[in-house]
Amino acid sequence: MIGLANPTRFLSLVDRVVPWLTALTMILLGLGLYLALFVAPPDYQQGETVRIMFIHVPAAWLAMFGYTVIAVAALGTLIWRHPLADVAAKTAAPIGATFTFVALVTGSLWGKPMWGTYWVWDARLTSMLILLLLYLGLIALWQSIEEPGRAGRTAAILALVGAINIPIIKFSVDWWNTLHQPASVFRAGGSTIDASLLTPLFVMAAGFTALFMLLHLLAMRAEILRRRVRALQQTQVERATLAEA
Amino acid sequence: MLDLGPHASFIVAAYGVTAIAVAALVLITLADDRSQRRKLAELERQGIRRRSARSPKTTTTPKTTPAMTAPPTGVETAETTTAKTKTAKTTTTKITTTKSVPKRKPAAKRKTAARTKSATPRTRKPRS
Repeated sequence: MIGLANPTRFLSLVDRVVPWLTALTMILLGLGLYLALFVAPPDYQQGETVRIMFIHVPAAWLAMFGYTVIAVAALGTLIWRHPLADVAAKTAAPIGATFTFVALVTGSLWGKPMWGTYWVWDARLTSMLILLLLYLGLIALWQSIEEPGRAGRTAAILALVGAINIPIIKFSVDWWNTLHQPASVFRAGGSTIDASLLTPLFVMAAGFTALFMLLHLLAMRAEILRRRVRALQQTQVERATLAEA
Repeated sequence: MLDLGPHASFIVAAYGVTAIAVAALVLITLADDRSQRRKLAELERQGIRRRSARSPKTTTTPKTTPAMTAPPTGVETAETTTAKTKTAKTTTTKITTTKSVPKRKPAAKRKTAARTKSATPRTRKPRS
């Protein structure tokens, strides 16, 4: 991590990793979609709508993973002042927000035929909506402060305060009586889902995770270049001012 | 053809929304990456480069100071540090190899010299 503190070294690593990660993402998502749409059997209760779960569940996991990345990066910004921590946090926010949006919409589209409603103010659904609002708030904060260093420190504080929502989302189904079903994949007694449905779910989750990492690396590269451009434009303006004087 | 049952519209809508959202995210990310690369290339074409990205000869010259090799501002903090350290190291090496630095006397001799100096009585200059 310390070696990668040098943005030039990090950029060279990204250039080497991106082609491999692109191939891995495409293979995993292709295989996952094939398993989810053509191989997985219909559920005995949900019928064909179980196929929505193969995108809803990984999207929800990635939504929480994205915020965890931001929270860890916020620690890196405030405690260790790692030069790339702020870049990592800033670029993870739009990706995390997109996955949260996907989780909410697909969950809603699954809820209508299964629960009879698109939305209920249930603890799990509400805490996921709060997560989306936190993401949007962080993005707005980064956009509103021009100086990247100051924006990064301010956003890091908000990100750490908002991190309390992650365990709330995870345990909301245990702490409160919710319409949303309790944990069925990662639970103490083992998964309650049959292997024929669990395998496509894990392949799709791996594909979504690879996609998240790929997009995050690309976005980080773009952000580093943006800061370089900004620095060079400032130099250009300074030179022009000196020449005029 | 895949038979999705009576709730096919919900399933198709869910996959459709996901595909659109992910595609938009990918396109925006790639477009941003390309746009920044183009801007950076344009600035470099105009001769505006980061100081650390200029010709390596300037950083190895003994006269070069660390501040001269530092890039302007922003995320280059780590690079600045690395560049400064590298230049400082280079400068030190060059100085020690090219200039003849006088050797210090051994510690025992230095102590003796100090004692002799302190033992010498101070004399005032006569007023003219």
